[in-house]
Amino acid sequence: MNDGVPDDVKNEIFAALRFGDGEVERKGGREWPLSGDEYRRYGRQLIMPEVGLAGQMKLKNASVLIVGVGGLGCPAAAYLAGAGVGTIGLVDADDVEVSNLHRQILHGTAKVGMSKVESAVLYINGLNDEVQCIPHHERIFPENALGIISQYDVVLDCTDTPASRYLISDSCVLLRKPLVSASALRTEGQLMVLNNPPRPAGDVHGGPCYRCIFPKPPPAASVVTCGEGGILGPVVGTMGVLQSLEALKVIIATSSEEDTPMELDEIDAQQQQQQQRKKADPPNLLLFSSFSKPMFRSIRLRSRRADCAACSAQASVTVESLNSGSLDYVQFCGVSSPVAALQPSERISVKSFAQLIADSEQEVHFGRPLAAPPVVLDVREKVQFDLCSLKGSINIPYSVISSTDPSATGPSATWVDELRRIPLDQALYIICRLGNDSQLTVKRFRELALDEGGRRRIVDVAGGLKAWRDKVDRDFPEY
Amino acid sequence: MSDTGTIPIRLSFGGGLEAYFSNKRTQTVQVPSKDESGAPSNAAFLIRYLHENIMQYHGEAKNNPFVTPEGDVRPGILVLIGDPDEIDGELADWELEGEGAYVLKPNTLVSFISSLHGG
Ligand SMILES: [Zn+2]
Repeated sequence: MNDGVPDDVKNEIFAALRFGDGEVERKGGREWPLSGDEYRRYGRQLIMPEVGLAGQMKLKNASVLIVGVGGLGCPAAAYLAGAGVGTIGLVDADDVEVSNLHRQILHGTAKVGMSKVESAVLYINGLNDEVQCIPHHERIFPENALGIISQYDVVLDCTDTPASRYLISDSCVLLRKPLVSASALRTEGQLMVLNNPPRPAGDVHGGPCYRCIFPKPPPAASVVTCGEGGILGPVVGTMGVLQSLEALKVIIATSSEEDTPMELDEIDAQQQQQQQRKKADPPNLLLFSSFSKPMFRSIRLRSRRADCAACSAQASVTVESLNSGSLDYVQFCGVSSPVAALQPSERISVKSFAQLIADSEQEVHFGRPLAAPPVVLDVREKVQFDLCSLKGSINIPYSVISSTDPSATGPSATWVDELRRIPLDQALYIICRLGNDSQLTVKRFRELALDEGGRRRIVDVAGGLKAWRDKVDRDFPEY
Repeated sequence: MSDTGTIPIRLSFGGGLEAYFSNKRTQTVQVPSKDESGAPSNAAFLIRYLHENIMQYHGEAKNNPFVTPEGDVRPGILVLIGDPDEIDGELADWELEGEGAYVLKPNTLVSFISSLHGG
């Protein structure tokens, strides 16, 4: 047709008109695919060729599942709701805590104690009441994963454990859903669009899944949580925002054969779609390192693994194996067992330890203290020690202790020499944040011969500063 | 390639692994150009060399954050290679470059990234 209107614009208009079937508004006899409010609300993205009317209709008809309404899920949900994604599902079993608020931007001080999904629904409804929110106030398990995920078009993995990441990826492969996966810790983030295109297991043209990239989980002991390692709000926020962006791109790029406008040159339209499909981004991993230059790096990833347990022709992960509970993701990923490295004689409870300190501070009749003040070594990292510490305690970070080679010959580390100078009748009391590193320190001190062949006692303060706060000093800061 | 003994390899670490490599996210190390058998050094040799000579870790082998007791890169670490001869110098999963068999060239960029799980 030669009517001066470019073909791609025409395609878009026809496609949009078809999408709008049954939802058109009548005004002055004309039918518009969106309401007047929607034109105004989405105007700034509607005028972009990347979105346009057809893209907006796809967003409106799309449903996105956000698993985990934390540092990633909050910003992702906000931008998807703002963009007019028709249905947003939210999965989380947790309640809002005050330590979430520096990064989980949908929640607020007044919502502490409320469930995260309820808080998120309130926020999203306030932002855009065109969006239908579906709260799933539960944790994701093999037993409920397929039932929840099957209701949605695209999935965002905003969770924080390897077990949930494998489960969500496996479910997305089985249900043929594209998966936008992100994670963050400290100053860094990682982002992948997986199972895109979401071809059936065994189809080599499908995008790789999480197992293709990480066939085996990391040892549980190497997995660091945000609570242990720390997280900067804008870092995890950046990753969540990028997840929403990738989800929008996946939705807008979806080609739907049944929507091909019949009035147009059909061959052209089909070719266009085929080209679009070919253009699906090759798999890559985006690395965000906020204190490095450059901050972003993109890595080319492998395609589907020929022996992948989930997405290959020989996949062992099936709907049946998931439903029957024969796939134990927690066992697969392992559980980091609590440290129990010591004999009872090498440990002291925080209450007895507090008594020891009290005794040493008390003057007795003959003008002498009952006991010498205990030597207290705090093995938290310096940055934590600087936040708050016990009076008179000395800081030797565990990272320094653990990187000191006990088998090394030659001059020992300065800190070791300094500890050797402490009189032998003085015990060394080791304390940390939760009581794990302190036990490992006692072991390591013996390896470094700091116990002087048993002549010096080295004692773990059981439960660390957490127990100290819980049982001795309620005012000791919690962080 | 030179026979003079070593070649410079550019390293980068992420996801927490830098803690075991002097807390440096990037560094250049001189690596022997031949392995123990006299063959040109490859990526598998580099990992062995880094583990034995550069890495700072003195804990139990089973908890080693970089390599397994068998000497493989531990699960959850992506090894990425930036071939200096490729024009864009883009990093790629080493599985696209022959994995451990990738023969090191002067100034090859090798990146070790531990997967993150926080959210
Ligand atoms: Zn796979």
